[in-house]
Formats: sequence, C-alpha cells, structure tokens
Amino acid sequence: MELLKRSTVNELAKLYARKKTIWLLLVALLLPFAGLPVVRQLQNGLGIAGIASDQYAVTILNAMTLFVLPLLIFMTASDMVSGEIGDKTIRSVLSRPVSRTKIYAAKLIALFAHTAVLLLLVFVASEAAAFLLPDARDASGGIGEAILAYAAAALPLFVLCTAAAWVSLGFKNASGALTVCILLYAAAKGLALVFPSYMVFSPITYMNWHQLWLGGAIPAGRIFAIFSLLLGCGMVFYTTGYYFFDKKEA
Amino acid sequence: MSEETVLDIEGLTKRYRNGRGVNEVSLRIARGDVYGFFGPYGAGKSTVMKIAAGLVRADRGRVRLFGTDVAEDYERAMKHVGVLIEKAEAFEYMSAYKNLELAARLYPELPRTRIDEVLELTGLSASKREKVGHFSLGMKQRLGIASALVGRPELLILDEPTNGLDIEATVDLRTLIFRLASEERITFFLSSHLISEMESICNRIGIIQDGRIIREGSWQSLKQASGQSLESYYMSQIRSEKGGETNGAAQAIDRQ
Repeated sequence: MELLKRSTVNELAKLYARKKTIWLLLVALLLPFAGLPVVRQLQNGLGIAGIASDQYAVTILNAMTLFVLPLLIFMTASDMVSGEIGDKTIRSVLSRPVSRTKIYAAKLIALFAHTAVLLLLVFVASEAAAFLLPDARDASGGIGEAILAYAAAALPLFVLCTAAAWVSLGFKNASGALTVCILLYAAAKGLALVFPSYMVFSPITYMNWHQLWLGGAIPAGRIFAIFSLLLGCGMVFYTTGYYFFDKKEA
Repeated sequence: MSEETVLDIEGLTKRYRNGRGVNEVSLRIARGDVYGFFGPYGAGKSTVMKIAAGLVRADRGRVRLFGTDVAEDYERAMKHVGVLIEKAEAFEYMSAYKNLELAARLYPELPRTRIDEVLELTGLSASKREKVGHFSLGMKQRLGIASALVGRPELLILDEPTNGLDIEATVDLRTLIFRLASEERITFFLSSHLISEMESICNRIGIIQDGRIIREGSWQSLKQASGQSLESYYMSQIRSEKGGETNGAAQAIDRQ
C-alpha cells in the first residue's frame, strides 16, 4: 500500500510539473466565465429565457462532459501512458522495486484524481460565474443539486479514464494515442445518435448520466442499471489494460 | 569459491519478431564481482540486461536476483538493484533533483540526504535545479547513473554507461565503479564498448555473440591462459567464432 501511495504521488508530481497541465487547468477554470456572454446575449439581446443562475453550474457541466472534459482526460492519459512509453521514461519507472500492478494502478488513481480536480475547478468557477449573471440573487439556490450532479458526473469520466489509458497502451507517442481517443469517442457519440438502440451498452452514451440525479423523482432502477454498466465497463478496461501493461516490453 | 550469488541467469531464451534475441544464456555473478559483458552490436547484451531488470520477459529461462525469481516477486528481487539501460531517460521538464526525488520516493527507508549524496558522487550538484531538457548527453548519462545509485543498490546493472560521456567523465566513472566495488562492495553487471577502459575494473567477463555466450569466466584466469589484453582477447574470440573455429567445448563455462 505504501508503494502504491508513493507511486501515485510520483504520477501526480510528474503530471503537475508539466506546464501544459497547468495551462489546461486554467482553461477549465476560465471556460465557465467564457460562457457568460453567450448566456447574457440570450437573455438580454435576443429576449430568450436563458439559463437561470441557479442552473448555470449544471448547464456548464452538461456542456463540459460532452467534449471538453473527455478531451482533457484523453490528453492526460496519452501523455501519462503512451508519452512515457514513447520517450522511454517508462524504463525509469519500471526498473524500480515496484510491481507493474501498482504502477498501473497508480497511473489510473492519478488520472482519477486529476479528473476530480478538473470537476472541482469547473464547479467552483461555474458557481462563481453564476453570480455575474443578471438574476444573480438566485445563484446559490441550486448548489446542492449542482454538487450531486458534479459528483455523479465523476463516474462516467473515471470509466473514460480507464478506456483512454487502455487505448494509449497501444501507442508509442502521445499524439497518436490522443488522435485515436478523440476519433473513437466521436465515433461512439455519432453512433449513439444514429443507432441509439444499439449504443445502450456503450459507456460513452452515459456521459450525461448526472442529469438523471436531478429533479424531483430520481429513477432508481435506471440509475442502478447504468451504474452497473459503467462499473462493469470500467473493470473490463482496467483489467485488460493492466494485462497489456504487464506484457509491455520497455 | 563460496561467494553469495547475486545474479543467477539460467537458460535464458528470448526471440524477437525480427529473429534476433538470445539463446540459452546462463551466467552467475557473485557479490563483489565487477562483471564485464561484451559483444558486438545486436549480440544480445541489452536483451539479457533488460530481462535481468524485468523490463522484458524471457520466452524461457529464469533470472534470480539475491535468490528471488524476478518473475515471481519483482519487488523483492529488485529491492537492492539499480539499473541503467542503454541511455538515461529522464523527465526533461523536471529538474535533476526532482527526477531523483521521483526515484528516491520509491525507497521508503531512504533519507532525503541521499539525493544530494548521489548528485555529489556524479558531479551534478551544481546543476541540480536545472531542467534536464537543458542537459548535455553526458550530463543526462550522469543523471542516469545517479538515479541507478539513489536506492543504495547492492547490484548495479549498467548497459553502456559510458554512452555520451567524454574522456574525463569516462575516467571518473571508471574510478567511481572501482571505488563502489572495492569500498562499498557493490556488484556490477556492466556492458561497454570501451573494452580497454573496463579491463582494469572487471574481475569476470562474459562474451556474447549472436545471442549465445561464447566465453565466460574469471578475467584473471582467461588472461593468464591467453596472455592477451582484454581487447585482444575479445577480438580473437569474436573472430574465431566468426571463423567457425569454436566447438562445443568453447562454451564451457569457467566459474573459477
């Protein structure tokens, strides 16, 4: 356990030592503010009933889970896995007295932690940005629901982390892995639109499952079914990913 | 000799898709040995060293480090082993100190002062806060050696450690190996193309060609028998092997 903890700290230290990671965190922090002019335009300029300030954080989450957060996860996973395989720095990790089981687990835990940080930043920035909307008096109204939505949104994103790491294992450079992750994600999203009945078993279909947790009546049965599917997919991606990582020659 | 065996390789076979690899390689290194592993490019030196360090899996055979099978209990087997394979690969966006910190963190019992110790040993103290991306090839190689040393290893596996080093740094490295072997009883398994540089520090040698060990044994006894320098001995063995003069007896392992 001690070595797993220390390996995870190492993965996080490497991740946050990159300037790119800090810039991307900054982008995630600023995007909720960048959405404000659009909302203001809708509400004031066009006279359309726009987004209530107490719903702003959830609206931002809906938008971010569609593409931005998956993209940030793909970038991190590809750097963390295929980037290290490609530049051979993985050797300096694998030749220490730490088993590959722990190294792979540490990479995934660091990726989950980074995703949680991203969600937290987007949440805080969205809540802060909501106070700049015209009906800012109600901004703090939906905070409980927003917390629930952001917490629920972590699960499909964690599954996406395991899938992105799995795909990245097949590449020796981060850009190749990133491109394929984006293409596969876009294809899964596209197929879900064209063949919705066939894509019910795709975890990508449920990136917005946090919406199920909102509103008066929570559909417990549906939530349980999707939870089971996401958990199952995560486990399959993790175990097969570990299998390939264990076989990897450095 | 009843010396403790530190590295025991038995019947190692690995075949890559391109047909290269190693075949039935066996060797044994005792505590305190400085084992020079020589051979032409592509002969299989790095493959043997990578398998010994657990970076590559063998098709057949077994590697034991300090009595523990690498494939069965990697953490225990590697606990006292430092590795530098081919070229030092460090995280270029981090400083030398931060790179060593990553390595040191994986040895819970290590004092923090150890990082400064190895920086001092490898002559990198002045550049410890510099990003590795700004390092020369020789500095990166020194950092690789520092990183291999950070966990206080009892066995160092160094594959071409003199890569990229200038003459002064090569001599420094030779002195460092000699000092670590004699004063701290660190065992070395090292390969190098600078055979003449290695002659004065190796007490045992192995020569590998086309994936097979063609000679192995105490350098002292091989030197006495041949009356040659290590470089001349190496060349004669490689040439005689190429000329097909080697018979089965040549593969007999001298374990004196």
